[in-house]
Amino acid sequence: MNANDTLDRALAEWLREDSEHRVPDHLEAVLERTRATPQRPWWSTLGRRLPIDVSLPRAPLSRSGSWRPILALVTIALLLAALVLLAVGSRRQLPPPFGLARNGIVITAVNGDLFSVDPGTGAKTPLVSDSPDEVDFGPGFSRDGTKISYLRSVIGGQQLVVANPDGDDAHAVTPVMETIDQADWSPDGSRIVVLSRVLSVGQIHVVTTDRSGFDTTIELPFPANQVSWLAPSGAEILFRGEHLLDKDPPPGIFAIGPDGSGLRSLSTRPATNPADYQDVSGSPDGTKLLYREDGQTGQFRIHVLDLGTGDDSVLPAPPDAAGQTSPVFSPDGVHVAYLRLAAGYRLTFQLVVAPLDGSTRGTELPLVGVLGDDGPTINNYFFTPDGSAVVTNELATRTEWLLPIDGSPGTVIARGTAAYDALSTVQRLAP
Amino acid sequence: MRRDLVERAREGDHDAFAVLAGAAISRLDATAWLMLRDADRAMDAVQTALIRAWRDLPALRDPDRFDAWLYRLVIHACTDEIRQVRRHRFDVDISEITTSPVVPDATSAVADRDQIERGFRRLGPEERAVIVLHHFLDLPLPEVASTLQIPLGTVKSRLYRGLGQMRAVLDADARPGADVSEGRPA
Repeated sequence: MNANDTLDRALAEWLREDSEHRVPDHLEAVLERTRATPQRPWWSTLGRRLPIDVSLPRAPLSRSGSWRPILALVTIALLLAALVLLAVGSRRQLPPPFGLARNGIVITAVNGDLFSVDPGTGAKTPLVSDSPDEVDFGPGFSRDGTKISYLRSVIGGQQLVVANPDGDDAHAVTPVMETIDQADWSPDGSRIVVLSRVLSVGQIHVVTTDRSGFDTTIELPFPANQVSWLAPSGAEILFRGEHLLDKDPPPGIFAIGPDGSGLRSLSTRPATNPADYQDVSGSPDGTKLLYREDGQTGQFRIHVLDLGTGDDSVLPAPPDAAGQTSPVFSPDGVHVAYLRLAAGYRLTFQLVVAPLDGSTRGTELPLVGVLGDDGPTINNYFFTPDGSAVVTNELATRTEWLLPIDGSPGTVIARGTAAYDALSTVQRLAP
Repeated sequence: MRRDLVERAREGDHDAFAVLAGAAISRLDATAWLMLRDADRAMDAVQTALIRAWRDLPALRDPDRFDAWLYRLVIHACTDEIRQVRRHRFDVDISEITTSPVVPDATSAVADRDQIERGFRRLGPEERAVIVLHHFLDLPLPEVASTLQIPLGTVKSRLYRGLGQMRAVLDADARPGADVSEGRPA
């Protein structure tokens, strides 16, 4: 018997002895809580969002019937202008910090610390490497690329921290919260909208990014999910209303002012089930929303909601696709990245970049995932600021990929080992 | 019978889920205790895992994977618990210590409980999870990989690293004046 066998045997013996009678009986307490917890339909697992929403800016447009004739004229004029611009080969102009831009540095989190990464070589430089008692993860650049935010696990929960891109001037902008699910920078960088969860119920907070410590909690009559700012003005916050309990209204897409005023519904058709209206993404020019519809039979369809007219249509899908889900706009709003489901018993997901108008079946990127316990194993994807690639997380291997949208082989940005490891963000630099 | 219970629970039968939870909870508690070393936090982690199991059971495609799925949920809940409170990482320069020429191997004799516990406490959640699943729940390494949804090679490297760290602690205890460095990984 060698030393390894001895340690193995001693360890197994110690584990058995040490684990006995340590935890008091709590089965009834568990069952009491599960009795009060509704089960989720199986397709709703696709709708789970990830800790930080790093998708690109959302956009608004108010709707008013009396303005429709004027809006039609304006739309025609804009269309003519767009045709002229197209004829001369120009791209649509979006106000900064929206539209195509140059790529800056990449920041990622591995093993509780933040690093800047050279995507060419994979070399990592420590950025925020502080106390061993703190775990930093989920970085996200401000829209203008001048600041970063990230989550910090501390005693009692999590905090959102804001810092310079080099890690200096780090300061918490939220109190310690039980769980922070999402954080999205306002277009002007002065505020961040935060989604926290207490006992699974999502709540919206608006915090300032300076050191003023201003924090507004928005009171809503139902749980919230999937928050972001409506671009380009940032006058409203976009979110999904959740149906968790019988008393909650059906799910839908809503907008509300950052001070909690002016709650309004944006969705225009009745929800098909409690898992409907998922994965909401706004176009950077403020004209459209994308979202996923969950059909009663579990068929996933991406809808395009025109915020000007209220028209709600389905993004075309190739006949061999079993469904499409989780859309994200490109910075110029021309393309959409989403997951396409393959037909067959075992759900597989292919990451695809396709034109918004559905004129082609798009380009399949070289990454396929499956349905894991936390939703698709390909997740948290977003376009780089220059629109040439998609950054995505592959949960099964804790790997962050940079995938060119032409379908050529990707490169690894970072690898991790723990949940939420390797999630990255790309700095936007002025074009 | 067990598959039938899982299928019934998946269809919303809470009584069936209660039977499954009752049969599993003592091993889940033990697993969580070993991971967290704190009874209250172990209870929290197991409750979180079982509530999530009940809530998301309709999404479980293969009823025969119920046990593995439960273990995964508990391990994830424990990892979240660890991350929410504090994180200790330790660098142990195994090569430097084990190449020392005159030191007797402490594991050649049966290490005492305190030594093993001290070594175990120094492991990160990933190494603890692999060791608990393999050495406590007796899962073969491929099953550990399947349970944690990580490659088999990663399981082996975590096991190797974890046992190596423990062995280094035991060896250091046996070596007068030897020092085991602590710190964060580079």
